[in-house]
Amino acid sequence: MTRAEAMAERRPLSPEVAARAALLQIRARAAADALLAGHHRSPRHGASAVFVEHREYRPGDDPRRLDWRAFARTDRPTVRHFEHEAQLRATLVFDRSGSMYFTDPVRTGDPPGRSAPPTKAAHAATLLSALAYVLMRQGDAFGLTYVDTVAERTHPARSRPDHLDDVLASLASNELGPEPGTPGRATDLATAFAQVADGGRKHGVIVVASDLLDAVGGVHEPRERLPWSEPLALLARRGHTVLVFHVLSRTELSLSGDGAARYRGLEDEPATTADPQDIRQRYRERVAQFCADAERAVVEAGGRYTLAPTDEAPTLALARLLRPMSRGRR
Amino acid sequence: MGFETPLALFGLVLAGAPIAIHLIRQRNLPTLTLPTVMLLRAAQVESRRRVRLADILLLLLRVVALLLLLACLSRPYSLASVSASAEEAVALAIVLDDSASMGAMRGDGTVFDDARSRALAAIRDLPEGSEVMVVLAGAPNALRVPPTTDLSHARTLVSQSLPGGTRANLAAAIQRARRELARADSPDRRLLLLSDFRAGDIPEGGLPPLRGVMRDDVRIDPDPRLNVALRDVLVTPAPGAPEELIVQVTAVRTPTDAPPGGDAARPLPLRAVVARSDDSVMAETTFTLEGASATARLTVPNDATNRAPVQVSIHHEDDALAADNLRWVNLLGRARSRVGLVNGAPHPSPHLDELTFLRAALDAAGGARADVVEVDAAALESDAIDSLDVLVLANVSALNAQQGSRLEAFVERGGGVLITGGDQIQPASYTSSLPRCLPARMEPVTDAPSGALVGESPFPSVSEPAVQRRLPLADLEHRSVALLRFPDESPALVGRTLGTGRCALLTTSVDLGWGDLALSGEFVALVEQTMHWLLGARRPTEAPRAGESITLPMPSANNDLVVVTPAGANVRVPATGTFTDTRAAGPYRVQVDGAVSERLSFNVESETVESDLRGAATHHAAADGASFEGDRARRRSWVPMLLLLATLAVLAEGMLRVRVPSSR
Repeated sequence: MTRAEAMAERRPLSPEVAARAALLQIRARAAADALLAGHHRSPRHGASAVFVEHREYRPGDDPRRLDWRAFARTDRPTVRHFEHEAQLRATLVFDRSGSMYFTDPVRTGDPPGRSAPPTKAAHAATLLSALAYVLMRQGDAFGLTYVDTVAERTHPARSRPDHLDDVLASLASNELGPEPGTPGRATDLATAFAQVADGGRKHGVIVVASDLLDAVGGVHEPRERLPWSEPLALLARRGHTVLVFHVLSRTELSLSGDGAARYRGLEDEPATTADPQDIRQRYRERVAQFCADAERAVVEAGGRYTLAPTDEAPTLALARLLRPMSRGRR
Repeated sequence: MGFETPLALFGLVLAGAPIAIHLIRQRNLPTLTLPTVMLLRAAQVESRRRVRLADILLLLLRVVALLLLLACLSRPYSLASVSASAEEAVALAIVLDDSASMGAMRGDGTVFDDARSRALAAIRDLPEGSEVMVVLAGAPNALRVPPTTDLSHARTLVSQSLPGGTRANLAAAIQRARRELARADSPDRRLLLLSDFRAGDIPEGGLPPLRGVMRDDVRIDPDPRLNVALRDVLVTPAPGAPEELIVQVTAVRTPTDAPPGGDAARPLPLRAVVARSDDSVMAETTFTLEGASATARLTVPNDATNRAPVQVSIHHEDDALAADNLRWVNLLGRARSRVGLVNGAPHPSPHLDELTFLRAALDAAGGARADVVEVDAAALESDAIDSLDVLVLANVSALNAQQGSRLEAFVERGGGVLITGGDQIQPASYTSSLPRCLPARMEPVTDAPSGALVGESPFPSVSEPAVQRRLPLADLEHRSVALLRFPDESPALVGRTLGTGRCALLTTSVDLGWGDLALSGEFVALVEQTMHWLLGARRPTEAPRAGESITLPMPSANNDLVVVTPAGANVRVPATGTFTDTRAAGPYRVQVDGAVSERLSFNVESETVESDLRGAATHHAAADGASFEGDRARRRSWVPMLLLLATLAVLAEGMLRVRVPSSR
């Protein structure tokens, strides 16, 4: 099987996630409306009357948008879709640096036959795809940008139905990562986020799925300002709303494993020898502090942050990220 | 410090196992990927120094624990020096080997000189108030310095000590010292054993252990030289030259620690010397010792000037031990003796008087050496005869029981009795009165066979004597020896030993009543040889060995007996007559009421076993002149301490392993 065939067979959106994402669609759209209404007020809000299409009513649609005439004519509930409802522009930012292609090893205690946990990249792709699916269902425009040492906007924001397929295909092609034996891409989130900020002139939502590990930025000291926090703040100052999925594996969070080993990174960091038994507690404190600092940086930039471990169902992370938005609306 | 099982020390290389395991584990560490490796490094930065220190400590503790446990297998022990100075008073027993081998050469002096110096130094280093005692290890051991706190006096006594001629008995000396130490006040009891530890010094099974006593054995080796020893001296009259004596000297080569193949194998030129007590040389010759032994013969004059003991010695320029090269001998047996004559049949005619020819023969043979006195038969019932050396009963008719018992006691204590035959003799009386002394039972008088009397060497044969009558003998005692025989082989002169004395019986008369024996040309020689035989109960080689006790025949309970030792010391002999102070080899002069008694004087020879100068195998490991362990009780084992330290190391390692990860 060639790599292309493998990519063709893969579906970045697993049926389970797609189903769960569909169930969340109503709350997610409500939350998105509230979010956009609060933070991305449009001068054309409520005044637009550019009809785009009819579509079948789905639970969660505003009943006020029911087209009663069409309902009476066709005996099927139909809602009207106006152009002003597509003014939400979401940019999905996918971290494709080398560190994102790490997966937890199969643990000795796992039941036999259990598949390996997904890579962080696959998990991030799932999260973004689910969100894209929701956006597409809501008719919002969304684009896709890859970041590593730079930002590469491969898919400008659109709301066409076939746009989702393009985005999903792109994500699918990037979730496998580099060929084995070849070093992964390095990470320079500060530069990459700055480029995202420069490219996103229209107000919108920036959804980042990343491990936020910045090899170029060096070792992060506790409570130190992260190097990418300033570009992130710049995005906020330009009217963007930043949502961050902080994707980490269980191994990264807890440093599981027994016995001394030689540890190496995926972005050409210097290797080190350590015994998890000896260093685990201090490491966990370090990681927890890193997550706390990352959350603080995001929050200070007016954004939302959620930790998305790879061994957790993606819907939980989506729910965590979108739940606060819907709560204020209701 | 020493090791009971030193081969176990090779196991110490196993102590490198933790290091090797550590290095192998480092090399074989698995490589894992971790994107957060920078955070991992950052976490390590804080604890790296502590972790590294802990790792080193863990490794060190494991290595130390292993080292200690492995060291326990070699069973190390320490040797604390007995002579080391202490702050508080101690009780020190010094066992000083004064056996003959201690006189062997060592440097410019002897082994004993070295041992004595060490003993003096040990006493000098004792703290004030210490108690010291010195036991001489020659057999029998002697308490040279009784327990005393007068260290100065002890040093004086030790400095006056000399090596004896005895063999060593270290075991008995140690037991003696232990008993003395047990009575000491100080709980810090120490024993210093100074010896050359020769082959015969260590009994089978080793030296006795001591409990509660710190013992230090100091081995002092002689120089590794060859050694020759004077093994035998035999003095015989020169055949056909009665004015000369032949001194036959036998020298042997004894084993030493000298390297084989050198002097031990080559012929050794030796010099034999016979010298008087004033060191004036009487005779001298050279001979060669080619094999194990060699004999030299020297001729000395046989005259009255040889009454005093003489020194017979051999010399070699590179000899290890001089003490076994010298022997004191009496060339003429006892130099001067008292002969008492009892006339059983006095007769106005000289040729029929029993004593006429006997007195003349004694005067002719050894008048300068013998005082001849006539004793009344009644004196046989008193102690008057105890001052005599030889008593002659010439044709004494009968003896009562009291006379018989006195005579037997006289013989047992070293006296000589000669009974000569005659017509007055009542054989039954002698048989009943002298049941233990007579060489044989006398029968009634019969005719004697004609012909020459044959003497057993060195007794002379008497050619063609006209002996007509005799007292035939029956039931010869099994220890009896025929000294002169009739032509029919029946004994004419027979003798036996009883106690330390001798008794002889001449079956014919010494006057002309039963024949003309007294007129023969060999009569004087026969009388002289008989006196020699009666006086010389011992050959020179049968002299007592150094250290042996001697029971001297006390002339009477009222006599004052004093023994003058070779060193010139006067030792009074107790009433029992037992004299034990024979540690030194050489001539011992016995004075009876101030006058020297030749009969009681004796020579002491050194122990021949001490000529074996090979070091004891069980003490070979000790260095010459160095202290080494005396026994297990003296050793201070390190095993309990090492086990304790190993346990602590293991506990510390475990605690460190538990504490360090939790703190990280």
